[in-house]
Amino acid sequence: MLIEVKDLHAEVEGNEILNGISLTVNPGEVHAIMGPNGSGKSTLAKVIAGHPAFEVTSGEVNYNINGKMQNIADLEPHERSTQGIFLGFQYPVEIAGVSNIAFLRESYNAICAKQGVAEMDEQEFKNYLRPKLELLEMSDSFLDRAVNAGFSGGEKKKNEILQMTVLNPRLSLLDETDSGLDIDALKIVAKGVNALKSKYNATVLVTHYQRLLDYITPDFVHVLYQGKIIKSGGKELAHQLEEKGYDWLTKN
Amino acid sequence: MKKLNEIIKNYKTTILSSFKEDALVSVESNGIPYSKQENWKYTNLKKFISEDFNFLKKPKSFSSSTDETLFKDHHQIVFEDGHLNPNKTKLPAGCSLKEQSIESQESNISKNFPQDKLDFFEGISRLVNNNLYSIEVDKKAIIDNSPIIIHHTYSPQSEGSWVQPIINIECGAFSQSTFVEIYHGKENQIPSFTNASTSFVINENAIVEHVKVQIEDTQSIHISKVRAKVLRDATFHSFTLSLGSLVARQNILVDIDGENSNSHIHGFFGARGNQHHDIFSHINHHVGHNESHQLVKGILDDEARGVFTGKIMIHRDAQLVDSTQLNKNILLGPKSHMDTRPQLEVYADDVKCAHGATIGQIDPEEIFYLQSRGIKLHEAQKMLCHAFAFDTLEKIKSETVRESLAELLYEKFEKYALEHFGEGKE
Repeated sequence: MLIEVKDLHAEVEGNEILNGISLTVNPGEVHAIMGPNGSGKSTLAKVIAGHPAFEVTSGEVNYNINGKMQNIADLEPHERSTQGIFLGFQYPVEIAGVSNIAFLRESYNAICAKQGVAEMDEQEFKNYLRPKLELLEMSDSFLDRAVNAGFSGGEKKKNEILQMTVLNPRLSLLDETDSGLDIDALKIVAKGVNALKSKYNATVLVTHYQRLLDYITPDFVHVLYQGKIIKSGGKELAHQLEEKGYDWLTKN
Repeated sequence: MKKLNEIIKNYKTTILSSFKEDALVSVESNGIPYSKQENWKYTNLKKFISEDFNFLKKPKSFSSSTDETLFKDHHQIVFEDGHLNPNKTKLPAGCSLKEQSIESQESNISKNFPQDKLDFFEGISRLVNNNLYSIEVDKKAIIDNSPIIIHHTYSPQSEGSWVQPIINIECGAFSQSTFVEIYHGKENQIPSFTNASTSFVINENAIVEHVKVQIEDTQSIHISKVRAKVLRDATFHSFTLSLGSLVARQNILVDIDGENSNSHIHGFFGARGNQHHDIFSHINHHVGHNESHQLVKGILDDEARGVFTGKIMIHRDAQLVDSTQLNKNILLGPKSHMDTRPQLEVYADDVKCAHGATIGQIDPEEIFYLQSRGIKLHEAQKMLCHAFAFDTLEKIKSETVRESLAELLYEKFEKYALEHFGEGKE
């Protein structure tokens, strides 16, 4: 078991957003979390990553650290990251004044330090990045630009996936990584996600649309509505949703 | 040392040229600026400047021993107590310097800056100074090793000791040059007072970068004026880095008199303790078809105060001007305070203007983004603050100058203001 969410309730400024979510993800699995706008999909991803704006009021998030399931409620966001949890942002933040390569290296070295591995110098790191850039069809010029500053929507999402491939997480939470992408960018993003897939790691795709799932095949699909998972199933559930819409489930 | 009213009285009983007469009138009528005057609303100098004035005279001899560590590989133009030290000054080819009587420049000044209203400081500088320094960059000269103008204040003998250098720089048509100007106070027993003026006339197609660095000691008072007249097809890059002084008021006045010209008026100030930094910028588009861009940022720690006034005036016939202005400030200290006044006055009807100002803390979403990539909270805060400041330094064209300024920024500000992240201060 990689992560186990148990009856999770969370609120922001007194409004309950997650209303008792339970979810188990094992290594090697791909889960898709779908649902209409405002159902709590993004919140679930952010709570797992440790976003400080959300308060967990009850329930647990247990995560596999060194073979033991541990409640991560008290872990800082950076500790969750160094333990292999990655959040791909729906709206990646622009940071003028920090170059992408400096940011990537800082981040990579933070993980190295945690794992007791030697840090990479700039040249080694560039060599390490090269195949990842090629995979995502990104040019070297991305590295010298400020983090996400002036990037197009598609470039920002590719940059998220680049960070994911650099950090090589055990659990990737991809929050609406497909929104606003054209089909070419979507294919590249999917290629990046699929390339990283192994029996040791898992991916949770938070998405509004079924389209992404044509390129990344989920093992499980969950429908979130009003802060609760109202239906779970295999990949066929996504197709049913596409045909019938969310109303099919929410009207009952 | 004399009281201001005695100084005025003395000048009144002397026969003065009309030029000095005007200066005297402005000194007497304006008086020491205080907060009832609109341009000084947030900087009350009466709190910091006494009525006693002592103007440092030119020393009989200058030393030639050099103790420069900053920019030592560059040509240097060294001022000590407001006067040129010729022993330490070396100019690059294509560039000349003359000491001239201030009155001989009267017609030039009124020709180049006809709109200039004399204020108290300009007035007292013209009244007391008999000479000014003129630097000329030859037509078509390309000056690679940018000269560094360094101002030292060595010997304030008493409270209220003022140094008042006046430098006029004329950049010939098609010339290219960078001037770095550093106000570098020594840690004196007695605080020094600076009232400096640097003017540029940028002729057709010339490209000039002026990087002003204010790192005076934290007791001193620094008042300065940078002026530029930008002519046809010319480019002016101005950058002000303000880190020193107890009180620093830096005026930047740009007169855009040429079509197809570009003016970039950027800056950063970092203040801590009880420092007070005031940047007052006034960009005048007198003619159309040109651009001005401004990015000024500040970080205020402890109880520091910051003021930004950014006036952009687009005159009636200045059509098709493209002007942007942005002032962003971060308050780190619980008692730090910022006043910002973007002021846009547009009298032409076909222009593009964008302006904005923000005051706040480091964005928590940005912090979370970095944390979610394994970076610790206080490292994330440090990185973001540094990035906030460095974003302005990136506007500096010359790479070596930019790197030196990044070092100064660390030494004089970041080392103190950012290092205590993680010591419980968030």
